[in-house]
Amino acid sequence: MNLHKYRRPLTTALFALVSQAWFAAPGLAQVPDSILNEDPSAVTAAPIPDRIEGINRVVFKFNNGFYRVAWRPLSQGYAAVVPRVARKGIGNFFHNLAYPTRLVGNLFEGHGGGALKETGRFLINTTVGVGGFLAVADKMPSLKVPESDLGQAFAVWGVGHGTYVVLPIIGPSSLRDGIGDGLSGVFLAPAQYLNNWEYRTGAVALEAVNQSPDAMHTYDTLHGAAVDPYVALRDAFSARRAQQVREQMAPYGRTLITPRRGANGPPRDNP
Amino acid sequence: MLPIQFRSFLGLTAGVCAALLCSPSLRAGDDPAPALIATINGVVDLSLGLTSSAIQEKLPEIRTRMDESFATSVIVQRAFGRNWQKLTAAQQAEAIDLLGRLIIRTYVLQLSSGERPVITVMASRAIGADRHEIVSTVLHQGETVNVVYRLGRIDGKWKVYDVLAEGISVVGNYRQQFDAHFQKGSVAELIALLKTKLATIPAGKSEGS
Repeated sequence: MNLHKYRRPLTTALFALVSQAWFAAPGLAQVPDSILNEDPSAVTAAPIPDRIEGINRVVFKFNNGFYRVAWRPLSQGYAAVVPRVARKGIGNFFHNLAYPTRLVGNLFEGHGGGALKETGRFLINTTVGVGGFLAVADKMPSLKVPESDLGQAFAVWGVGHGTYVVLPIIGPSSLRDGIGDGLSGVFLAPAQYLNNWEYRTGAVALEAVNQSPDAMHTYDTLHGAAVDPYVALRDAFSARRAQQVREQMAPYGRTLITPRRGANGPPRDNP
Repeated sequence: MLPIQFRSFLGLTAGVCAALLCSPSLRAGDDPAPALIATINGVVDLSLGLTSSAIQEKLPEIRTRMDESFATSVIVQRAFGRNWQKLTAAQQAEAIDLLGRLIIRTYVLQLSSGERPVITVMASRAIGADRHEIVSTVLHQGETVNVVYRLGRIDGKWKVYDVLAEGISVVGNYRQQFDAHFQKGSVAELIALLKTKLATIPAGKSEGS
């Protein structure tokens, strides 16, 4: 699964659901038209165009089968053997190792300050954080920086998503973000520079499996709550990626998206 | 007679005071954030540590608590959007009931394990005469999530009509799903689907996970 882009949006989407728990209402309330007519996409982002929906839905179905048949047992076995605290540490380690992607993303965007902060975070987590297993820098507000990647850098350059894409096993992405992730995986992932292919494969597999318990929980919850999980995930991915790009550009006073024009304005572009 | 400058000053002061008194966000005691956070914390108190089998027993209590700050019918109606008119009055009531229960079940299952989430209000501001926005962060399971509540004056009270988590709108997300459904499906099929969803309660988070 695309664990960085798949798990996070769904986890956060669940918080949205968490925040509005209610049951049945006794009847329709007196509601101002400005509220009833407010277009949700005017305050989030327009969905990424899904130009190959037919193919995507086939891949989505295949992924569902794979997650249920192969991934779930693996995830459950791993969670039974490795306690949460250890998984957290391993996750921190791999996140710290992904520093080159975040660094290059910031540099490509022209965010020198962000690149410096990422470097500071990497150095502190690697030394004080015992090789990155402890995310010490997370507790330092001065080193807080929106995470970047190549897909976001392309967005800052003005490159659109192209089309929404569901990748086999990996999950939701877009043409632009998929290319960005592919380039990161080939050129910027430290594991790719290991001499032995077994080590390279093992590192990638361990990172994926380590995140699988949380990812599977999120997956299960999404499928339990969504009327159409495919559309729900596509919308969540679209909105989350747009938000990430906004966050990435906001500290630098730059934006490529349509400014908020009031809640009843036109949908915001998806950067 | 007062000097002209002083009269202008008085007029300006009176104008500012009037504006402050009329502003929904600045009127004393009218900030909806404390009430909303109290509601959410109350629901967390009711939900934390629940097992899947205990969920049903607590749902009525949670409903009562949530209704204090959340406009259920409005959220559901907005989620349906233009498709709302395709439903009869009976179907609308049923949709409010079913979708509401679907969401509350998700809510309770999500909170049934792990430590208590920590909610912090970052900003609370008016976004119009009858709308308000509360920006918050939620720290849960080691992750911080940005959550924005959009509230409106509904039946004379501030109530939530949409929630955005990391830019994802719950209303918008369901609207996309319903729009897709109604391109080919019917109201009856959707209601049947909601019932099927409710009949299959997903397992809660395992201890190990």
